[in-house]
Amino acid sequence: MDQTVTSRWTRRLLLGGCLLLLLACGGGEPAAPPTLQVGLENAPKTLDPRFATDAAGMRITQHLLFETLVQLGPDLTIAPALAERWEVNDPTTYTFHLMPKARFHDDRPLTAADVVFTFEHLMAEETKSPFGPGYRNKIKAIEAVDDHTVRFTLHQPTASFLTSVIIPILPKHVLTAEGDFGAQPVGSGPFAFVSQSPTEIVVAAYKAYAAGAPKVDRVVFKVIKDDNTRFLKLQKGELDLLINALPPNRVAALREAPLKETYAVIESPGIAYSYLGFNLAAPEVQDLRVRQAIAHAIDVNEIIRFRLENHAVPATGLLSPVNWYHSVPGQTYSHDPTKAIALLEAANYRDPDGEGPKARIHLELKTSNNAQVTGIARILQAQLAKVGIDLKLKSYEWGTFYGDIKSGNFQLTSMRWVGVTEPDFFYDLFHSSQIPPAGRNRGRYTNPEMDRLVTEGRLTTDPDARKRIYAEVQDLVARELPYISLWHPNNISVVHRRVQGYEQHPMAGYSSFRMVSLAPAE
Amino acid sequence: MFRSIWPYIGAGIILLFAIGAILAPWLSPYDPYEIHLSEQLAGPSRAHPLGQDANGSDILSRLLYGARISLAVGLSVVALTAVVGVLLGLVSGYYGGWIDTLLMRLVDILLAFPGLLLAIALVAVLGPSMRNVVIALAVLGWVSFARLVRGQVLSVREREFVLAARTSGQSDLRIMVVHILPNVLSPVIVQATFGIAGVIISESSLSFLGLGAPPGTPSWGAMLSQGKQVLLDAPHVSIFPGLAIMLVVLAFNFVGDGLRDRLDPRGGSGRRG
Repeated sequence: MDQTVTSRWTRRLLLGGCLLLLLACGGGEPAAPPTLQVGLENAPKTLDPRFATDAAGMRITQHLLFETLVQLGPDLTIAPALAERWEVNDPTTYTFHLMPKARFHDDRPLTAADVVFTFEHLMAEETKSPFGPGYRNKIKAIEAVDDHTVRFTLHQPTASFLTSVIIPILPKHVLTAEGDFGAQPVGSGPFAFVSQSPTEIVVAAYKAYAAGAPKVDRVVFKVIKDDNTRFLKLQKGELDLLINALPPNRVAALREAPLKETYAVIESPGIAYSYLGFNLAAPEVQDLRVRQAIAHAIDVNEIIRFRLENHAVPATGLLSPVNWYHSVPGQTYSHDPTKAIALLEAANYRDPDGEGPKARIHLELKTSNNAQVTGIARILQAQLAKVGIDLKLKSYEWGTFYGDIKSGNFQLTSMRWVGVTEPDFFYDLFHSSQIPPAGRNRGRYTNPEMDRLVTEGRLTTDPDARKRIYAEVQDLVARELPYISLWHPNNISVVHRRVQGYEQHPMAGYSSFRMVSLAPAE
Repeated sequence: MFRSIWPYIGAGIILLFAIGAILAPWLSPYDPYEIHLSEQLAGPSRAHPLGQDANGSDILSRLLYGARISLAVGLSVVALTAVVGVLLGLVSGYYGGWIDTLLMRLVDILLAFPGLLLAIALVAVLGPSMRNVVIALAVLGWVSFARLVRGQVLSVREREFVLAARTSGQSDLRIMVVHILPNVLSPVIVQATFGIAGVIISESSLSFLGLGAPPGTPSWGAMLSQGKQVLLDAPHVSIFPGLAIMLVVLAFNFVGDGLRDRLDPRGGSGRRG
């Protein structure tokens, strides 16, 4: 009996204490440091810029933690970054002049020696960086002229060189010492690394940043894999920013009350590119007329309207209209089932049973087992069925799928390219020397004309002459159809109304985070 | 025959789904593969009693065709595993000795694997198709039958009528098949009923993960997974396949419980698929 009384009193006292504590907190109004909460679909695989190749990892390292010599401006042209200016001394020699005030987060100055170290380190075989081979092919020598001047010598004129030096500059003094750089990266960017876990990445403003300290104290990235959960977090107002991390069917709800009071939706053309790729080593799709028939049978607009809810634009080629090198090819393929059937007839694929269920031709489309992708594959299947093409769908988990695509074990595949700005990428995709494992010519496309054009394109440094060459390339791809172009998804940012100064970049990156500020809560 | 009403209800539900599955081509109001994008995610209506999915396909038609997949996979995996399991269990229990040791250690090893995880790994290696799903689920499925039958055989083989058969010079095969097998079948039937329920769940799980039938196949698990993407806008897309899975699994468990009470009154409690 006594015991119960005591325990009851203890409980009351505890409760009272808690209440007091709560009151104290409420009265004090401790000003939480302004923190930008950003939702992510997937955690970055690593924050070590030597190895980061996934979108989240590259964005956090390139735009926040580290700095690059140059960067891509809002119009996707090269803009100064760590290098205030640069000169092209001759087609194979580039000289960069670094910002003298740049410092690493441990307060050591960033000098030309760090730049030289970065590239030599990445190029070294033993570093095993995925960026190594690319640099080894391009760069012959790199030297520090003085503390703030770096000179690159190339093997041959390389038009894409400036784009290719967009890689974080590493601190020589940290990497030459012991320690796990990926676990505690030290950069020179506007934000410094604080912590990383599978569900959360925290970076804090670097107050001494030469170009001006960020206006928010912290950026917290929350990894939320499930689409619905991410949306519910938005609904509760727990996120400030989502960049391309919502399924298309959720966007409409954000434009209506009550969510539109809390969030603004920024939508602009993106540079990602969805396409249907052919394996030209497969006999069934070697006939150009079959590929043309497929192109005419697909109703891209129907998919964009109903599945992508108009958050995409039809594509005519790899480069999106945002890209300066974009040109509309001479040949485009409108949705025209009659023409598709005529092309199949011409290719000698006749209808075996008129109105009956038998198909003219049987093909196989291989995709990953991502639900969005297989959903679209089903629509393609239905569209092709209307012209008598039986499209069998095979979906595999990513590893198996990607392995098959690289080894050429497919007929058709539906994939997408993300973040392509430099037209030299056409070389990787369609030059006959670039069949995997050498490059990304997974469709085994070979054409001497293409080889000549993409080689010329990488050696030509005059932008206008280059543009003409790549217009021819885009023409040729549209004519020969190693790829059927589907669409460019729009970039969609969902921004909390308290966030000010965020600008959506065509690359959907984080470069504007330094300018972002948060309005005080009402 | 059964003491409670639940086994009858279960049998009724199974019968309904079986009829639906068999007569799917005649009962379905629409072609389950037909796509009408402009009608996507429409809710239940007179024309489409269970509504339409993200492709505008009729959910009722897809459920009926899906019943074919669920029941076919359930029955074929259990038939396959029961035959293999019973045979190995008989041999193991009857002969004992090194055969028994060998087989039972193999059973122990397989039992140590987490079932669904092994199935996922197998399908990932073999590639997703209905045939491979059956293979993946059968690889582990026979184990429980073998163990169950072996235990029964151990006690039955010492009974008088078996000894009598042996002394009268009958062959081992004949003793096993004619004298022992009929006496160990009851628990196998109970186990098989629960097994079907378990397999249906596993098939749905694999399809839900995109490892079952190819995209577009009206499998309940795949429909559920498709519905998950639009759960907030169109819950009916996932509710109906979810209900179907639940009902069928529940029905098999009801029947299994009833059968166990009837055939195997000593049987333990609550072992479900």
